[in-house]
Amino acid sequence: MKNGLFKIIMYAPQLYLLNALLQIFRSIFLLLPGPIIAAFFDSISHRHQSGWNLWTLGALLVGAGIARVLAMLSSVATDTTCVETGKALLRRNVFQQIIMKTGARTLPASSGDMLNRFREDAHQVSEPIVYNLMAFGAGVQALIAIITLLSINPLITIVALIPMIGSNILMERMTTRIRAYHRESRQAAGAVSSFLGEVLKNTQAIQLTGTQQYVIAHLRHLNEKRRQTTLKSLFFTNVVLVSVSRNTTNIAFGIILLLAAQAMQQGSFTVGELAFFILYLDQITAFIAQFSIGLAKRKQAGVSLQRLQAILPADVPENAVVDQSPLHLRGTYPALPQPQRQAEPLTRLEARNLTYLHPQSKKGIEDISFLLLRGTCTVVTGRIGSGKSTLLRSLLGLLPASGAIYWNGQQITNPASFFVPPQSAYTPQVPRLCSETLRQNILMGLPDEPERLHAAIHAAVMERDIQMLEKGLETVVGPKGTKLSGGQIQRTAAARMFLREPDLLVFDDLSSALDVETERQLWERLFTNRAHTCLLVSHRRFALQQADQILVLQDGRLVAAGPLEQLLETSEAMRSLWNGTIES
Amino acid sequence: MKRYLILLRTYLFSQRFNVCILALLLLGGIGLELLSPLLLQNFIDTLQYPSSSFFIPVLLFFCFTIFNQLCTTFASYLSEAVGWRATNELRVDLTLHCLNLDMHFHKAHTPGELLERVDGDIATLSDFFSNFVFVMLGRFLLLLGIIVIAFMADWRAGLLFLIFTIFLFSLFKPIQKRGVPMFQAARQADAELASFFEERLSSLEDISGNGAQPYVMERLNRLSRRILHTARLSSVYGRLFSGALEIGAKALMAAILTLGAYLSRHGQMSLGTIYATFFYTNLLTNSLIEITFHLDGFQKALASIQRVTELHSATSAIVDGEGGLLPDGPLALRFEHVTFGYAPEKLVLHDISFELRSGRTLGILGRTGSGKTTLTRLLYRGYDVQQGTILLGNTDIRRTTRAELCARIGVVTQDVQLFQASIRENLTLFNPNISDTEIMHALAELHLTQWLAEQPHGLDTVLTEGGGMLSSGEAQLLAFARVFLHNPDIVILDEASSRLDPATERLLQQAIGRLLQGRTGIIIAHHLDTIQRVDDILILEDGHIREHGERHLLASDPTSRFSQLIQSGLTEVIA
Repeated sequence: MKNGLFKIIMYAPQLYLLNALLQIFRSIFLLLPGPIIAAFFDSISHRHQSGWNLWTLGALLVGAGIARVLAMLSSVATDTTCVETGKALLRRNVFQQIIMKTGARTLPASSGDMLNRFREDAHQVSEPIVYNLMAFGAGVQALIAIITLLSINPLITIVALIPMIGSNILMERMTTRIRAYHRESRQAAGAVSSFLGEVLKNTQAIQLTGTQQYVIAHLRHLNEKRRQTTLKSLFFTNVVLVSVSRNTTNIAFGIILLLAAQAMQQGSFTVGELAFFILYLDQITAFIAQFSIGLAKRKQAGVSLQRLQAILPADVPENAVVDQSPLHLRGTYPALPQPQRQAEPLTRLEARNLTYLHPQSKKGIEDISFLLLRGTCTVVTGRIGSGKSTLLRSLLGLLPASGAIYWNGQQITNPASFFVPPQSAYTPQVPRLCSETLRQNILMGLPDEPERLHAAIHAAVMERDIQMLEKGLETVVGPKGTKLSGGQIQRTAAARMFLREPDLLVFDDLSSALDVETERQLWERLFTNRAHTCLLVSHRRFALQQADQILVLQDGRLVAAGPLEQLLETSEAMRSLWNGTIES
Repeated sequence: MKRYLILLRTYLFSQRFNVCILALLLLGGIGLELLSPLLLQNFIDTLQYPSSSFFIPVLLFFCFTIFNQLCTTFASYLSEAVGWRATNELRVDLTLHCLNLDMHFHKAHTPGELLERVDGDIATLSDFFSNFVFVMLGRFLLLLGIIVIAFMADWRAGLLFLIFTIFLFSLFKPIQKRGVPMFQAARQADAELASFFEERLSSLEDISGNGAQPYVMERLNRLSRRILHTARLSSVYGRLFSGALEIGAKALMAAILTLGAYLSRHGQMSLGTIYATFFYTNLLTNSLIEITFHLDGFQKALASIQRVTELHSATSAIVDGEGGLLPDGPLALRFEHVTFGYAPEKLVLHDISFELRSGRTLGILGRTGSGKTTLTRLLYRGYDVQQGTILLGNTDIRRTTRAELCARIGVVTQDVQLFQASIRENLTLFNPNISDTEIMHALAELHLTQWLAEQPHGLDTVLTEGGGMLSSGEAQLLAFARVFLHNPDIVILDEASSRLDPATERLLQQAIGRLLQGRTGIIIAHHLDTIQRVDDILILEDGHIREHGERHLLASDPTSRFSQLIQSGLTEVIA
């Protein structure tokens, strides 16, 4: 864990060093008023004559204030920079691993919970670093204060410091419990966030069934649990810890008064020195409080770091969360890498013994082999749950299937990074868009070349829809594309795929939300241009008739393969699908 | 300001007992804090006379501070407790409010953005309840007390305190006013990050399958940079006032000490009084620092309150009528010259009139974007018509309430919305009044009994988010089961069978048949086969009715659009 925080510092060492320096100034400038005020009192009580007149002392006091405020403001600016940089680094690293490695696998937590981790846990890891730097600055200040006090009156200083050290040891012992309570309250908070996230996402289902009151009742229950665990954690940190540390100072203060009173009656201690002591003691207390809070925060950071590591994909090492690659928080952004050809254009693609079983349901595909040739169209069909989507996802590396895949005879060892444009492109069964413009959704980072864009839109039979839209391609499609109809979302996703001009087009049930005529146009445009190699899931007659090869799946196994006429003769499964009879 | 008072009254009234205890603790703490410097004054003055006893004032001072500390700590805990309860209530109210807002609103806001309001902004507000209200009110009282005591010691000292305090408060408003937009910008950037993650996490397949990771990562980097800039600006700005205060406090100290020296030389002020006054300067400054510290949170809370009230004042365009007018049993429905568009100038439906008698089923056909889904949304008052009337059992639906309307209408949409919760909770949507027997009955209707038996924990099996372990077809079957449990009088199926393979769809057709028994039904499907069992056909084209009539009449009329569609060679796998 300490290593983790250190790695975050190493991402921008100069920044954190600057922050540490500013923290020192921010703290030690607080000590400047001490001697000035002591001089004031001494001058009033005529015990010592400092040689300064009152006006000079006043000017010095205000000057010290200005210096301290300037140091404080610049330190705050670097504080935020440090905290936000650390958060951005953690968020980026975890998210990057997730989008590189997850594919079609289930996310390790609900998206509400993931959001909570990206937001809260990243903060709880990054902020303690700055807080501890602040405590370090305060430590330097406290050290100077102690040395100064020792030089004035060693006895009073030492006696006053003893209870502080004692309370510090006590607090050290309590940190395990702090950690446990904190973890509990974070979990309860995650449950509330993820439930709220789902409720807000599923508003329509709730409204249409009129179940608002029951959903709210469930929310109340989770809320209450969060309140209780948070208060328990707060009671410990805010009441117990704070009481111990504050009252330690109070005890020290009482001791100083008693000892000082004696010394003053004997004339060996002045009112100015008393003021000095009381001022500096405050600073030392502040440090001790910061030190123990910093300690607790470091422990909490450990918990949060684990929560971030827990949502990394399975095969990613834990230290990936503190990966050091640049964040581009300043300066110009580097150009986006454009699709790179990783192999010769497709002539034949062969899959051997593809097997993938979903860990929860133990369903999936087993031992599936097939061959795709350039310029052909292969349709995967089969009953619901027979593994059609799983087959496509396994081929593309979106699911970690076993088996072998050969591209032009060459084995592909990492399909996830290979099956991307220009090798292949993919439209999932339920395509998702993001709340950007239609154009951005189709381009997804490709350069904006009007002719290619137009061709892709045409291929996806989208041109009329775009004309109909108020702002055409600049229409912001709304959350998850909800301003478009289901069919428009699907064809936008298809246009996105066509624009990438891949060797292999892979689509999962492209036509499911399309009307009859739009669908026919789409197939016609696709099949007239036989340059593509297609792999698609469908049960539409038209698609099956056009296919060069049909793969029939049943319970995760390939039961028949070949052109339609042949299969209708030889395969019972194909016949029953074609005729739509129910198998018992 | 009125907004905040209403907020406080609403959410604190139910906790008045705790609030009273809190007030007592705070007042006690303030009293002790004001008295202790007077003890110090006494102590220092006593010391000017050798051999006098200083033990009693020291002991008293000691007890005062410890007791004061305990009061303050418990008060701070209690204020957190009160704050949490209040914000929990607020969160529940706001969620309920969101759940009752119409589709217009939900189309305009991402769930991630709403989550940031309901969860994020309200978390900021807990600071408003717990710290601002109690700590700040307490510190204000202390401030007043200090000024009064200073006046009692010497009017000039009191005047200095008063001027200092007034000067700083006059600075506060202009500084704070400029800060709010910066805090809002920072919160907005945070909200955008939330919806960024929300959307990207649900489109991982789209991103990976098209190699768009570098693009998405760049979007994230750009967003992170914006967050950094807005956060830095708002955090520095948030400290400007406390900076001004710190400098002002040093000036006040210098002034008080100079005044003290002057008065003491003229024998008008004792050393103890000077010391006590100096001590009060510290106390005054500390209170002001504490106030401004919470002002930092207060500024954030102001921005949050604004955003929360904004959300709270968002109203549905759909206004409930008096209700209670719908007759029992299956309902007939009639559209009379209905015109509608999502934006007033961009009409989706033009002058739609048709009738569906009770117990009959209507199939709607038409291209994507021809207004089919929109038409059904008007029926359950997802939106209200712009012109014309929709009558349900001869009642204008604008005279019904949305709740009673939803109770009578069951809808299966393309997008099945599932919770990360047990199968039971997904079917009942957390309604505890639906028994397992009823659930099993509904599942049996859909031939899902076998499927359920395969689930590791039966009805208690937890579905992962987005139904990851369900195929889309299974998810759709669950949506059907929901409708069975809901037991409506009108059933709307929007492309409900689009993702089922033919064999499963055949299974479902039987279930649909049972579901439509004794109910009025509307089925939208893009494929002719789904329309097999309907009584009437309505074909929409660009928001106009192209054709409407009984199915068998249209089918047997070779000139009808419907029979052309059948002839168009696009009959699907099901014959």
